[in-house]
Amino acid sequence: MENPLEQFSIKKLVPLDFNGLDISFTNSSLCMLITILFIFLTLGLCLRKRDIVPTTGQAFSESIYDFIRSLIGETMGNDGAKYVSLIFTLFLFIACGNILGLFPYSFTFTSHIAAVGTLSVFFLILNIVFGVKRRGAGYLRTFFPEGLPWLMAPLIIPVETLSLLAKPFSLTIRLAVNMSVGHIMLEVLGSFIIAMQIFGFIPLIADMCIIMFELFVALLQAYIYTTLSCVYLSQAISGEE
Amino acid sequence: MEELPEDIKDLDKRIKKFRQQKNAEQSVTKSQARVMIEGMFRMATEFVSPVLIALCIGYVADKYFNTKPVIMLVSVIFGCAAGVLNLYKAAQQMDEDINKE
Repeated sequence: MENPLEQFSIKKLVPLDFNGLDISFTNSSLCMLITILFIFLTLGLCLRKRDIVPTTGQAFSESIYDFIRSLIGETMGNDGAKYVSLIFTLFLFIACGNILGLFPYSFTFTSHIAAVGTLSVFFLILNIVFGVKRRGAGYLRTFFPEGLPWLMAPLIIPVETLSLLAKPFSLTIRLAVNMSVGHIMLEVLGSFIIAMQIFGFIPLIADMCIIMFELFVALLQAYIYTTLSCVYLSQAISGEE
Repeated sequence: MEELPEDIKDLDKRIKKFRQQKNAEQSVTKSQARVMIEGMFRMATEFVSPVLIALCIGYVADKYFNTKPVIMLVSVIFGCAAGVLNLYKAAQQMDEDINKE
């Protein structure tokens, strides 16, 4: 039986070295590039002819945009209007990355903690920047909420700092684990198809069901990641916990 | 500007009322689903992640200062506290979302 974890191995396509730092172009980078190109091309083609009465393509892209706008409206209220483009990009990147990873011979970069972690840490830094920009020094209240006695500071500040640092970690783990588990299951069941010979149709049917389920999970996980990013951003700019 | 006739004003009022009702219905179903899905996936990792972060920080700090395992033990205690705090905040937010409805 083939190792089900082999599908997650990083392969160097163009080895690059910068002062001893490995910045090679890998299969993960290629898939990210394909995802970005796919988003650009799809949206570009859909919005080629913009009209008051939308075509199917325009209606499709507008419905995704409306969905993100309503999501931001629900979590951030009127303050969120400025961040629609950021959240829209984030959602499309993760959703398309998850879905493209389901294709044969493709690579799911969202199952890698390094890739998703970098995105989450980048988002945490953005949260801090937006929070400081909006609230100034008041952002420091995140680490020591108002109304607490100063004697509590040595206990509360480390706890709140850990709580803040855990946000990108929890986002990363949730997405990476959910994506990897589905792909491992697909691979394991796929290897049973040949091993079970005449009864191979049983794992084949199970595999088909899991692929459908994975498609749902891919979109759901992108939705969860985006929603929670909105919630964290809302907490950072409004100061409400 | 020309004054609108009474029946047009009445129609306008009724359309606005209908739209408000429809929007309110939609927002309730959306947030119910959102709260449910969010809760399902959020709670599981919300407690674990600060503990793991604290464990990593403690491990690295212990290695750096050569104080194995004092900092790691202390930081795990703080990590557990942060985990409980995260769960409390998440539950509080879900409660607020449900009450909004």
